[in-house]
Order: sequence, then structure tokens, then C-alpha cells
Amino acid sequence: MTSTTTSVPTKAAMKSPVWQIGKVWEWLAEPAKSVTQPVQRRRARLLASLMIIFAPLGPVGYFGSLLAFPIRQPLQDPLFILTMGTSVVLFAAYWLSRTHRHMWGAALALMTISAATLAAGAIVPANMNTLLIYLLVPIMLGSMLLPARATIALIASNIVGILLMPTVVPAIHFAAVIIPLIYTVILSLVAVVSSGVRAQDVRQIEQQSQDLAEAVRQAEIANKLKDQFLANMSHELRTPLNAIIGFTEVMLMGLAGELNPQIERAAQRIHFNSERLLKLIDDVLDIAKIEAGRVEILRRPFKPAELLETAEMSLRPQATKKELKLVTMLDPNLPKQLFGDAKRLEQILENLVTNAMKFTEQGSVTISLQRQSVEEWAIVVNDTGIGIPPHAQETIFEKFRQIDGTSRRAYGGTGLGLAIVRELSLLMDGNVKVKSSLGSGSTFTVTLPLLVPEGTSNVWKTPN
Amino acid sequence: MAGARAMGRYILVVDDDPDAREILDLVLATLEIPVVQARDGREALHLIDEDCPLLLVLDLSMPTLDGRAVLERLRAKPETAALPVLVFTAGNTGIELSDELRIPLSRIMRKGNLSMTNLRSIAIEILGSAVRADIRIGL
Repeated sequence: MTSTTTSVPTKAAMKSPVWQIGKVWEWLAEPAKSVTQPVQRRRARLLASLMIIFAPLGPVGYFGSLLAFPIRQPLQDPLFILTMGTSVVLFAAYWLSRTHRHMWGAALALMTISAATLAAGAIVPANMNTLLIYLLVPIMLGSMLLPARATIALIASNIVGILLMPTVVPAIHFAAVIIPLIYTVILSLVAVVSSGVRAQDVRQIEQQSQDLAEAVRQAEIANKLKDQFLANMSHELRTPLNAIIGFTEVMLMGLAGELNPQIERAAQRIHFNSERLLKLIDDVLDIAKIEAGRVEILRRPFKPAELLETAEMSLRPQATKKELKLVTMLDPNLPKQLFGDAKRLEQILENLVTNAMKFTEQGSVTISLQRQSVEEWAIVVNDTGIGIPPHAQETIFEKFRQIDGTSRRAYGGTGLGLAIVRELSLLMDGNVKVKSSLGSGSTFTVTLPLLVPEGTSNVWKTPN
Repeated sequence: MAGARAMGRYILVVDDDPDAREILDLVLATLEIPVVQARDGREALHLIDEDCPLLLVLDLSMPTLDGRAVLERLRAKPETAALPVLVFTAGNTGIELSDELRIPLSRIMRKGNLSMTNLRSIAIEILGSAVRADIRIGL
């Protein structure tokens, strides 16, 4: 049974704290609505996330170190003022990350981290080498948060900063900044090159997804055109053919004057073949629609007795013409209502009965609805015809297949009826089986789930 | 044409295809009741407004005003709500269409399928005593 399922997080997953933190974080880092470009939104979100982590980090670290060195007097300590000042600026950068000026936020944050690091180096010259390693942090982040030019400007200002250190702070010797300078330059190069490569990849992916979106759009247009074409075609093909059939009927009814036997015979052949062509057109268009997945199967209440009655009514003339008995057996336990697509069920019945009558020269064709299981009912069509040899019992459901090539000429038909029956049965989550032996008739059984309570889903399959 | 017949004594055939109209005209003319043709829904409604026919034979897919719209408008007016309608269509028929149009299944016919003989006998059934007895029995 097909039912519509949507992926909803389970209750357990919703209560999980990890899931909650993820939600809260997402909410905290959500970029402004005015930022629409995916790249910009990604940068803004990353900046917000980083600032949430970095802004409180300095004060937390400083107070942590107070535990280790309680002798420090925070308010007189230039490092304390530097740390708190940086933290305030980083919170401001977080605030900017949630606006359309998020890029300014990134520049401000990274410049501040760089300046604070250099300043810390100036305040504690002994630790300068260690501190200058932290200069790599804004450079790396710059390659993620800023456009390439801004990153290069940031790197340049950092290098200038390092070079100025010995001039500004007399305690620092020029030789001491050479090592930090070298690794800053090398790692900056790596960062710039790698971000350049990444940007190129992203551009390529973006180009590809644009191409893909365009291809999908084109395919959708083509599909729509094809649908329209199919619909128009079936109407355009039928209209002249109906006129041919209609006028031939008028002739056969004698409304165009008395017919001599030869002309009557000719008119009958025209009529017979036009009807055949009409059926062929209908079948080809039907199978095309089914194969294209453009057949909607509905699940709606219908009256099974009415279904059998309709089928019998429309098939009666054919039976009478061949002097066959058409029998409808009504199961006394047949419910008043079943659920399914009455139109498609009619189509299945019509095809099965037409097929049965085609291969039955005398006797009868019997239609019935039989219960198979709790939910399943079967449309059963039984005939007293020529039967089907075992080797052909599979292939008859294939398109344009009959028992052999000669049989099509002998029995007529499109060779699509049973293929349509099978396709429709499968679409309705059912199946079709045949039981037959040569000379003793055939029984076709289409088993379908038809007793599904209302309200599950009234559309069984929708066109894709 | 209106002058040649008594008021309300005619069959109205509506189809956008002239061949289909001619065929229906030829077949229904055998009932010896005047047949009037309309090319689309608008023309049909106009004719019905002037003089309500005995029977309406209606195609479903037509330009400007289609068969469904015609049915809707006829049902909205008390004078025409009871007008017998025979739907004669090239598309799908069946229970669903019958439910949708609220027309008995026996009065929805698909073009093709020896439908003319059928259509004629159903028309006789609907028209009842409006068809001359010898024609009715001569079936």
C-alpha cells in the first residue's frame, strides 16, 4: 500500500538537547533577510557563529588567568582593558553580522583581533613570538569571511604592524620579528591561494547548478508542451475519424439512400477499420501517458455494482454482434461501496472483456468481482475461447504482442489492451494473472486493493 | 427555421465540428422532428433562450462556451433546468463523467462505437410521444 509519508523528526529526536542547541544556534546566527545571495548569507552566518564563540573568549580567558595569578590588579592592567575592549568590538561585529553590513562586521572584527594581538605583543614583549602566532587567526578567518582584496589588505596591514613593532616598542629588537614575519608571509600565501582555489570551485559549482536549473526548466517546458501535444493530438486525431465513422453509420442506417450489397459490404469494412483505428489511437495515447507517468490514479468511493453494469452496457453491442453470451455475476457479499479509480477500473474491464471476446468464437464471457483477502478484490474475466498456450502466458502482456504474428491479422486488435491492463493494475498496487489451457478458455484475474478506508489519501498516484 | 415549426418542438444539436452536426442532423431527422444546429455553447444558449427545445444533444469540448458551462447555465434557470440533455463526446465517458455532469450514464455517449443507432433509440426514449408512433415502433 502506498501512503504519503513525510519525514518528520521523531519525538525522541525533537527532545534531544543537541537538537535544541542546533536550533538555538541557527536562530542566533540567522543573517538579515536583506542578505539574499547564498555566498553572502554563508559568510554572515559564519561570522555570527565565530563572534558568538570569540567575543566572550577573551574575558573568560583573562578571568581564568586571574585564578592562576591572583596578584594582578585588573583595572590597572593594560591587558585587561585590551581584552575587554576587543570583546566589546567583537560583540558589535556579531550585531553587524545580523544586518546587511555584515562585511563591515567581519572587517572590524578581524582588524581588531589583529590590532589587539599586536598591542598584546607590545605590552608583553617577552611573549611576543607566541602572541604573533595568533595573528594567523584573523588572516585565516579573513580568507573565509572577506573578499580576496580585503584579505590581502588585512595581510598587508598585519605585516606592516609586525614591521612597526621594533620602532614603536624599543624593547623589541628587529631580529625578533623576522621569524614571525616569515611564517606570517608563508601562511598568508597558503591562505590566499587556498581561498582562491575554493572560490574558483564555488564559482564552478554555482555555474553548474545554474546550468542544471536551466536544464530542469527546459525539461519542464518540454514536458508541458508534450502533454499539451498529446491532449491536442488525441482530439485532432479523433475528430476526423469520428466523422468517417459517423458518416459510414449514416450510410449503414440507410439514411443516404438504399445500398447495394457491395457498397454495404464496403461501408461495413470502412466502419470496422475506422473503429479499429480509433481504438488504436486511444490505446497508443493511453500507453504513452501511462509510460510518461502522467496518469493520475484516484482513490474514491464507487459503487461496484454500477461499475459492472456500465461495463456490461458498453460491451453488450460487441457481444451481440458475435452472438456471445455476456454474463455478469454479482457476488452477494459485494459491498455497496469500494474505494478506487472507477474510470481506470472500467478501462481494465473493457480491455479484458474486449480481449476475451476477440478470442472466443462461441459460448460466453463472464465478468465478476471476487473477494481475495480483507482488502483485496479481483476483477475476474472468464471466457470459453481458444485459450492461451503456456509459453505465451507471459508475453501477452507485453506491448504489441499477441500469441504470434499471424494472430493479429486473424483476430484484429491493437495488441495494447493487455499491456494497458497490466500497467494500470501495477499503478494501483495490484497485479494481473492469467490461467488458461489451449481449447478450454482463459481466466484473467486482476487483484487490487479496493477496500481501503476513506481518508488515507484520495490520490493514489499523481503524475510525476 | 423557427417559422417552419411549432414553438418548442425541435431538437437542438450543439457541436463545433460541422461534420458531427451534419451526422447528428441526418440521424435525428429520421424522427421527423425539426433539428436545429448550434456551433458552440453561446449560440446554443441564445437559441434555447428564444425557444426551449425538446432535447439537447451536446458536445463537451467546444470553443468560447463548452458543454459543461452550457449545462451549468441551463441548470441555473428554472425554465431550462429540466431540459433533457444527451451528451455526445469524443472524450472519455463513464461513471465519473456521469457523476460530474449529474447526467445518467445512459445519456452520455461516446462518438464512434455504433453510437448512431444507439443515439437514435435513446433519443426516441427521451422524446416519447413527441415522436410519431409509427416511427417509434418502426425501430
